Amino acid sequence: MSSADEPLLPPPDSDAMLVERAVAGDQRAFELLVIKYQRRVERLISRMVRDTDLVPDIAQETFIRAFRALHQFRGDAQFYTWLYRIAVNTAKKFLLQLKHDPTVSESALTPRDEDDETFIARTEPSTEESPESLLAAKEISQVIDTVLAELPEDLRQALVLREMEGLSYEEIAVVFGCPIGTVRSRIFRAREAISVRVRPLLERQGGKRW
Amino acid sequence: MSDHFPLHSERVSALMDGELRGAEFAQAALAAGESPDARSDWDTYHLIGVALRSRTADLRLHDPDFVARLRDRLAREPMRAAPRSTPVVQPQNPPATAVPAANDARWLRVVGLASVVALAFGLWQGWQSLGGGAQGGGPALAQLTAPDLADSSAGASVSSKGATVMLRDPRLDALLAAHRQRGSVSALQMPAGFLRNATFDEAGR
Repeated sequence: MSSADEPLLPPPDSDAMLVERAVAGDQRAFELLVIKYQRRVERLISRMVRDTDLVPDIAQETFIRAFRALHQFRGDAQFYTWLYRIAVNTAKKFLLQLKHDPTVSESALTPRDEDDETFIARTEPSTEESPESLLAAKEISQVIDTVLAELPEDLRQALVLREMEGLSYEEIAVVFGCPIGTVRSRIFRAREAISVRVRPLLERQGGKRW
Repeated sequence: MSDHFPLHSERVSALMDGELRGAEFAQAALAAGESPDARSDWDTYHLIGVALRSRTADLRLHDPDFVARLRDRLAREPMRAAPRSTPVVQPQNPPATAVPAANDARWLRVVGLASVVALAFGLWQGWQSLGGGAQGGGPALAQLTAPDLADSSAGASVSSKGATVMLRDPRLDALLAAHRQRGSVSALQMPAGFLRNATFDEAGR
């Protein structure tokens, strides 16, 4: 588990390939991206819109707009950066529309940060998040830490090099002096070992975070 | 730890890392999109990565109702294909390939030879149109066929009609050799018809 205050950058992934597949007509490929980024997009929006009831609707609208604009995604930037920009613009548009709605209270519109015109990565948890959800997240993190420490050395190192150092399979294979297939197997087995222990906790978790 | 894992799980793991290509990528993407177990793996594996990289991330699985509502809305959206001239996928780790330099000796020989052949054929066409070939002490004719070319893969061809006679002149060869590196005539370029059309002395003109 990272001890730094700032989150580590995510490693290279299949986002661009899934976008290409979605543009070609496979909506399920786009759904995989939605599954991957739903919570991150919602968290971003929740920092811009105080009324938590609006977050899922704005997140839905974000993904709809992203889907419509998928053919414009050139791959010259990370997909999540492109998606986050859409989320920010969608939230701002929602706020503007609601400003003109006399039935909406001012407190529902006030962003969490007055100068939050653009997304700024923050590491501190939102004060609106429920204690239960914070506790659950902490428990999940601890379980992941524990299982990671219990893993055989080769599996743990492979997963750490991949998830925290962002190395490709090929690079990890060079580090270990083993075939790429072995790296692929080790990373998968490490993930599966953690998944088996953490999935029951995740499935028990429910309700809104905020 | 059991070694008996579903194949889709291992593929999902490699899929999320962007390490699958071709048919394997297509199969894994299809399975992850269709199979509830594969989607669960996709979600959980990603969450593990997020948890390892950040202490304050939102560690919750996705909301299936959110995805179901989105799917209904997406079903009403028209699909739009990406323009063919704008590829989306950027290679993440483009393999380092050695690109032969333009001044590589082998390519210089190929270009030079192609230039010589093309120019010589053009000159021969002109010579033929002028009714040449009967001068005393003229340059010796040399037989040159396609297999005699140093590198047939360069696509050099002497003539589309199978003519294999090439005019050789030591002074011409020296001139061509001096300009070999700057020769830009394609080996596949057809002889300029203007040489033939530039003739005169046609009866009745």
